[in-house]
Amino acid sequence: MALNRLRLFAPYVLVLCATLYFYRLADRFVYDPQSGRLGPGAWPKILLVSLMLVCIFEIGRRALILAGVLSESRHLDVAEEVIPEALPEEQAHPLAVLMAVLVTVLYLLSFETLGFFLSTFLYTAALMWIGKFRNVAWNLAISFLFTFAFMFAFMRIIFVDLPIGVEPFAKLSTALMRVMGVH
Amino acid sequence: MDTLGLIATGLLNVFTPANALVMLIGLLVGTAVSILPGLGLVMGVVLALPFTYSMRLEPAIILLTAIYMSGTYAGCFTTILYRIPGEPMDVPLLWDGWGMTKRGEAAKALGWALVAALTGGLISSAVMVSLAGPLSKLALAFGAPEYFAAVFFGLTTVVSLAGNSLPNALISLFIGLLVSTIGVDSTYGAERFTFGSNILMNGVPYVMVLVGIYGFGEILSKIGQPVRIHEQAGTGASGTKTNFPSWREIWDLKATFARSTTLGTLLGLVPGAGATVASFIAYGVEKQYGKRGKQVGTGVPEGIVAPQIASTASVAGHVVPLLTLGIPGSGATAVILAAFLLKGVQPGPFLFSDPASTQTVYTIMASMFVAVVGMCALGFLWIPIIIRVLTIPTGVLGAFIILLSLIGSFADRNSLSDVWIVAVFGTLAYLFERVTIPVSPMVLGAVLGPMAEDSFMRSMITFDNDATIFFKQPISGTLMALALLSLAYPAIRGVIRRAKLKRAAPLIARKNGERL
Repeated sequence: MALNRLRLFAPYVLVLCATLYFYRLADRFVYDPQSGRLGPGAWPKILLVSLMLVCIFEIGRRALILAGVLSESRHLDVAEEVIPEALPEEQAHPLAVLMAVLVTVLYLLSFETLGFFLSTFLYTAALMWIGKFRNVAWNLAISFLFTFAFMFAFMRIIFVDLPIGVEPFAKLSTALMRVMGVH
Repeated sequence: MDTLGLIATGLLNVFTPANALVMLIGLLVGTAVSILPGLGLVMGVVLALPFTYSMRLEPAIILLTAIYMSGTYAGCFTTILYRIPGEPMDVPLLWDGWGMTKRGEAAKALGWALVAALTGGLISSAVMVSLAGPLSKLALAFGAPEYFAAVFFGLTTVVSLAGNSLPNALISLFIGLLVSTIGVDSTYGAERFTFGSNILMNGVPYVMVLVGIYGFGEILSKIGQPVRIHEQAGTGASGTKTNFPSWREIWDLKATFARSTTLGTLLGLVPGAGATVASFIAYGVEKQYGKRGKQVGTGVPEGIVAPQIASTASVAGHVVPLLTLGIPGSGATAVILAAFLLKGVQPGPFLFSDPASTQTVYTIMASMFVAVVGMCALGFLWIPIIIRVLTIPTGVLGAFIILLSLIGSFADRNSLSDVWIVAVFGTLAYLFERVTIPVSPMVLGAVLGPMAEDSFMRSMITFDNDATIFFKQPISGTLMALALLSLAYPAIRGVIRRAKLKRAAPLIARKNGERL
């Protein structure tokens, strides 16, 4: 029950707190004021106040529904109104999402150290594993193929300077670049 | 040169080798992404963006527009044959398309979808091309208040049409608008919400927000989910055929064609009302007002024609306002705007000020006609082959899309911080979806934010901080009134629905009583 209530209010309270914090920041922008002109904080403040009002409205509305004063009236979107059973989408398991986010963070942290090839190869294999493609041989083969293809397309065709990593990983990257004819 | 002359020259330009090649690639890519559930056409346009970096303006926009156009059509194949809507806009096709397939009329259903896409695409493109000149002249009369009112109207319609909670949509919109304020302010040079970080000093590029939300975030929310294929005996990829309806049959549905083409084109003009909204509304209107409305949903051609026409027709409705006013009304057109800006070109009325850029605009518009015909031709040749991508494991496909999103965003400025932005916004999009906050208002907020702030501040400087100016000028006043109306629309719709339910209550009670 308490958890449900927390879920009901938490996003709005969180946004409201963040809004208050950002409003304080907007109040302290450093600039040379010009008479009769709105400062650089005016526009963000309008947005922040509007955001605050919406959050307060929604928190109040939800509180009144919980207290039984208001009945829950959820307006249907266009799709639901035309076809009520429309768009039943299956969502990913939160654990899979969490793992995907974690490997992405590790990938980005290792990107410049391991170099594009090695970090991307490992990342692709991990992503496919999280995506339930768990045949190890095929997983590694496809990861290699994807990484090689991306490296070739971006370095050879679009001329993007992808990181080669630090030694000893740089040796692998430069060897592959030689194979691709990238100088 | 008159419009016809410009379009004729544009058509010739489309068939130059470079443009024709990117057009073909765009159609192939658009078709591929739209038949795969979970990979929307916006994602297709987003993922193609990095490949336009080294292109000239014309082929770059032709590529993205071709993906956008063909993305509204190919999903009908998987919907009709396998009951898999490739895109949300294909959901209305499900009932009648699959209904016809179950009766062994899959080829005929595909034929209806093709005729519908062809009609909707060509008529809507023709209408919008003829409106381009007058629209650009009207846009020249726009001052700062008019631009602010136009952007405000765009944002409010997005909010009113997104999701099923107005407060949630507003929260998403304001967050998007706030994201666009990060960085050094252009008027005073003041740092805003940068926290002293060099990365944030240049602001958050909205392209990265788009890639994060529509690329990384989309895959994140579906990771590990398999595609379930329902195949009816006698149909399938190998046996995919298209049987055209006869002229007589088409003539019998003339009212459906007229209604849905008009609806699709008009809804395309409304910012935020993309192909999905157009498709659902056209289906709903057909169900309510069509000659065989009661049979819609049981496997009749009207249920295929109406949504397919409307979704394809909405594309031209979106692209032309972008070219003439410089205001994107959907995720896909926001990416196309990004492609323009990356080339240092601001779409809008000034594109029509010199002959060379005017011709470029008309070449892009001419490419829409070619894209419509091309995507229908691909229905015969490419789709039976590409439909096999449904057998690719989703884990492999997801990894490929995520790689393309991340590496594509790195390629823009060779900056790892852009990739971090993509990852952050992708994760944020997933969290938003979990708490039923729609993400499309945030995207358009981030895209239109700078334009909204700039026009607001210029209006305040010009009119001595008089905020009522937006309501005093005729054009801006009308747009602001429309904006307020669109904000009130969900509430009005709720009242009408409740009134309908109230009216139906005695009938329902009587029915229940009879049953008891």
